[in-house]
Amino acid sequence: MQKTQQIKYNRAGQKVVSPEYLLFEAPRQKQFMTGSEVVKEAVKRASVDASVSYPITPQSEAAHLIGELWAEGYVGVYFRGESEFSVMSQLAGCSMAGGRAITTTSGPGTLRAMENFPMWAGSRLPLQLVLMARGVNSPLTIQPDNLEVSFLLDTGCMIWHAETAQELFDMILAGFVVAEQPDVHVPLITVIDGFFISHTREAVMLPPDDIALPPYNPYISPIPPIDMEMPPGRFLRDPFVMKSNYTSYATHASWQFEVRAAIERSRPYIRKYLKGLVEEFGDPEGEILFIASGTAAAQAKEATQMLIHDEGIKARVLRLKTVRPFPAKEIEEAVKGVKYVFIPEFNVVGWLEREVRNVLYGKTNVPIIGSPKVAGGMTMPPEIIVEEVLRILGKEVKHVP
Amino acid sequence: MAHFQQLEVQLKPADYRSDIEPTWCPGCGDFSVVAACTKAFSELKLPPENIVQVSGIGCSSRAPLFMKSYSVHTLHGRALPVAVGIKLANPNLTVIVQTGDGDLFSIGSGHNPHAARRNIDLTVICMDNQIYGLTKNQVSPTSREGLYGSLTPYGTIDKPLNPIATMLAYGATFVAQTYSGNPKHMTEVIKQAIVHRGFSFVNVLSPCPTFNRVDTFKYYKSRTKDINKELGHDPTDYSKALELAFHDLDHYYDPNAPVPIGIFFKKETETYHDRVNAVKARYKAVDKPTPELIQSFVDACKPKAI
Repeated sequence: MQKTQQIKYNRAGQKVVSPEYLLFEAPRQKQFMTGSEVVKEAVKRASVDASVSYPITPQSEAAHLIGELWAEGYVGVYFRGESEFSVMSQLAGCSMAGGRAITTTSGPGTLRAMENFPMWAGSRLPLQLVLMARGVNSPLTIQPDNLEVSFLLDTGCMIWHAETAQELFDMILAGFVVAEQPDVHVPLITVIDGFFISHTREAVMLPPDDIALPPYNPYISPIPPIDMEMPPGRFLRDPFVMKSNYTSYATHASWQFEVRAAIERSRPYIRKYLKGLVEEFGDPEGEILFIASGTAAAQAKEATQMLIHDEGIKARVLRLKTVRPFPAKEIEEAVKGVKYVFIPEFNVVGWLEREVRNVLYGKTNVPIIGSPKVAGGMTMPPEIIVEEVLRILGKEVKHVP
Repeated sequence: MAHFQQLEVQLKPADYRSDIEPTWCPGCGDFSVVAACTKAFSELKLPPENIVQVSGIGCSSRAPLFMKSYSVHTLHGRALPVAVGIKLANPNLTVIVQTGDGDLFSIGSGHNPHAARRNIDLTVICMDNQIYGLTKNQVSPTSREGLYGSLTPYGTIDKPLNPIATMLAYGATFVAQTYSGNPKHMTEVIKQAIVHRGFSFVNVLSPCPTFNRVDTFKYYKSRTKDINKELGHDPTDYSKALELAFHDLDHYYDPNAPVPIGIFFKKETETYHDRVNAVKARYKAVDKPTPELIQSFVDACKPKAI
């Protein structure tokens, strides 16, 4: 890797520290704040160059707070777009010009911006989108639901799913570190379940705000930022579909694979900076296995404790921190010796169930139950998870939700 | 005979109200837009089942909920294209777009020029409060310079968009501005906009008492000036209309400048459907093809040699 001059302070005058120090070693203090406020605290320590915003519930507050950081001098550029489609395009421009950029959106805004996400990935822009999921459908909903994630799975972006505000804070910081590795260098979508995390307060441990990540170095990009003459960089200037005489179909095809391969190469960095792609919880011998992510995993953890302590049923949770890259090996390991796999989800299609079935196809005979599924703003009390397990096991249902 | 369907017996304005109670903040300018619309419907004797009101997302876009007509509450910024689709499929309907400054000039602005230049027979009512209310206080494209919004920490530094001049330039054939504090004027303007055959645009200055503390009823009260009655503006003169429209936002910068309300431009010309019908006539199109006609097409496709 090219050695660049080490700088001591970023533009806001914060001391530049190593990602390892910021994430794992710096002393932390307890704060009580909402998910939206946590986004502000993370961006404050991430030496962010640019952010573009557009209002949509429930992310408007986070976007507003990033604007306050700009006013305080922590964020270099802050711009108000006119629709998510322009926001994501403008953000791509910020990244192509060499900046570290972040934005936030929710629900329908994500789909309005959709055309940009494969473009981000194909252009290898290490952008970060904090997605405060709210669901997409008609009649319109302003409720917690993470249906939009299913549309993002094949865009070529990394997708991480945070369970708590604390994890969101760490994921935003670790996200830039992983996404900007020269051999990864793809965009990252950091998902939280809107309202459940964005609008509720919880205790979070934060490092001091006078230290920050090293600023982004655009010269480590796998696509030369200035010299666009050689493929595949050239296709940014000469779209291959229209001008395939400049870039061969083979180059285009291999580039599609390369983008996906780049996501796969993020695994060792995720193991280092997120402490693994998955988190295991509960009885290691558990014969009931919940595979879940985000808020659904938090509810599954509650249900696991109720099953262990109230019902005497051995249960455990495999919580996925990342959906892209998908922790297939970890899931294959986890289902060994398990009687039932349950996949609780906050959406109607069950995108996580589909993904899990896909990787386990032909590899196990364990029944996979995509339940309970709640959607459109319903909550998932742990009681209904417990009830579902007892029903499948043919036991008496004592818990009444 | 009007070009839209009319009832034989006039309904009262209250008959056009639905049983849904408005959820707007007390003092919102949009209340009087609903009142003016229902009054206009009543006076024009419009059958409620023949009205379709289309809205996007935002405070203003809730207006159709509070009225008794067919209505579509569609995606943010997409009210206009959905309305175009409805009008294309059934030109006999009276299609009204109830929208706001964010919907029409920010996220959905790409649709305006094309609906206007094609002169599709729609009535677009823009409740312009110069702010995003539903998402809790963000500036809109029509916000004056310096107005505070949650995504513009130092206030907006952008020049506001001029809705009247923009729509005139796009080729709208009816462009007017009215004000929520003057229900009589607003009713008259909305009536004329619905009667107008072609693309009608009505910008309603509709103050937001919750978030916009600058462009208030008090602010507009002494400033509005009727361009037709007080300034003698002739709405058939396009260049005069444009000239007047260029001074629409003068009051943002000059405390003595008036806020012009009234009809800027009005010209009946051929609509999109007129042009479609002309094409049909040119190629002798029929609405109900006879079996003989269909057979003649089939025969024409048969290879001659066989």
